[in-house]
Amino acid sequence: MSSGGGRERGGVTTTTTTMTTTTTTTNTKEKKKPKFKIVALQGVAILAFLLAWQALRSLNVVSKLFLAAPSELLSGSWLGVLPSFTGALWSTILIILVSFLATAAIGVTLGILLGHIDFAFQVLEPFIVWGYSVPKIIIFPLFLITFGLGVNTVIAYAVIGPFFVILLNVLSGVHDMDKQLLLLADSLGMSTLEKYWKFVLPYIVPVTFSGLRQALIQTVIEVLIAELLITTLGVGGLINQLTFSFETVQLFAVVTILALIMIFVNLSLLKIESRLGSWRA
Amino acid sequence: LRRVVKIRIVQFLLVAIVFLLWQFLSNEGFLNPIIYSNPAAIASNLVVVFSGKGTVAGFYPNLYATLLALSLGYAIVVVVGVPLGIALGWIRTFGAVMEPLIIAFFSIPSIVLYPIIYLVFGLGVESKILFGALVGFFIVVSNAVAAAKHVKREYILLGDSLGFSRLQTLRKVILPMSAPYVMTGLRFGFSLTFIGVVAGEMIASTSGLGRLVENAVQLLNTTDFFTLIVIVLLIATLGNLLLSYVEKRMSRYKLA
Repeated sequence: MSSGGGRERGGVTTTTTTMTTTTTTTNTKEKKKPKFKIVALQGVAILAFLLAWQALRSLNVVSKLFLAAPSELLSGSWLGVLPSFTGALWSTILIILVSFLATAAIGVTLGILLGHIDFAFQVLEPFIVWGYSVPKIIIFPLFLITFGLGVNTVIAYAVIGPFFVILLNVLSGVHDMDKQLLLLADSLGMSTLEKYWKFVLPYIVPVTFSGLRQALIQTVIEVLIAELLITTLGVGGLINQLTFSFETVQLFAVVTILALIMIFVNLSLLKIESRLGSWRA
Repeated sequence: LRRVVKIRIVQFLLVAIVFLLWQFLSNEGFLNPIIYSNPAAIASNLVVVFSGKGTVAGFYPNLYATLLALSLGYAIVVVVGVPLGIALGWIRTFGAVMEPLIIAFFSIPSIVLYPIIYLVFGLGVESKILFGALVGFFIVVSNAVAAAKHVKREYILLGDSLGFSRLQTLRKVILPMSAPYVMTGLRFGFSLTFIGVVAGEMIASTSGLGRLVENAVQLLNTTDFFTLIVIVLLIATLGNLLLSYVEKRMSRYKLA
């Protein structure tokens, strides 16, 4: 990963990658010895967080109507929510996958095509950055009016949101490509298709992957937002229902499980991403 | 230079075509004006809304509520996020311990935490402030971390050989060298904080532009709805332009 250069354009994407790649490189550079100390300190930090959270309930700073303590989550009194949660989770995951595949296909294809044309890139870049940075939730009612109170709305909304991150990453990947490599390909007499297959596509794999990772997280967020706003569908609907019926322990359990799943997914993808980053260099 | 002009013209034309097409489809009856309104109606309604008249009830108090939540949320992001990021990037052990935890925490899709926030803090402005700050926080921290980490060792060594104290190194080396990159994070942080505030207002809140949008939709007053969208987008765009300008000025201090 070129550490400084990519940071102005599409700053979000490139900086997060630099951050993670540097963590891994410093980890390998440092001796194995202090690693244990770091993990121990991390354990202490997590424990402190859980204790502080528990204290808010134990000292009754916040009423149990609004906050569930870790001890209550451990007691398993929320297990009754599991059947409806797994059902909702299944349908939400399906929607997430469908929306994500659609955005990914559109975003990557458009990115490669537009990245090829310098002029198109320069014309469209501000619009894409703009689309990325404005609160798209504000136009959600428009989706609702157009597609109705169902899955179609969720999917349509979740396709638009993450689209910009992917496009931004793929575009800047193609655009920042080493022009000498392309010259080399030309001088080898490659056809455009061959050039793309052998040079451009492999080159943009890490950036694209980074964009896709962020887009996946974004898709999860957009799907949950749409479900929360529609209030009857999937995990978002379940969260909404648990919140307003003050099933606080169940709500916290659902949120905690979702949080753990997403932490696992994101950290795994980040690990792959940093591998890909070093592979290109 | 000619190329830049050409790019601007094409960009302008693209925007013009979208609005003209929208207006045309609306005039010719292809788009139901009751649902999709049209640019002319929105433009004239914009003037009405800003003059405090029209059918948007309590525009200025709600605009104020949104801007208040935005500025306080963003203030938290700046005041906590930047020092935390610099510290994580600069102090090795602290970074090694806390950075993975912070990355893990912010892997959680922020939206699932919003119900918890408004259960604890209520449907008032506090929840929006906190949620906005939560959404905008990570990008600012991660940019500050990356910035502080990438300060060249040579400059820190130079400071050491000049007998700088830790504080002097921070003030004279780390901060100035990270500033441009931190600023990039702050620009994205602003956008995300605003996204968080508006999302909070749309999902559950008693005031703000997001609330007004929901009200307009429920009354099927789509011209008001689009007018409010334009105002929200204007705030996002103006904030972004202002911060881009600051960022550009600062990037002059970037060293290769």
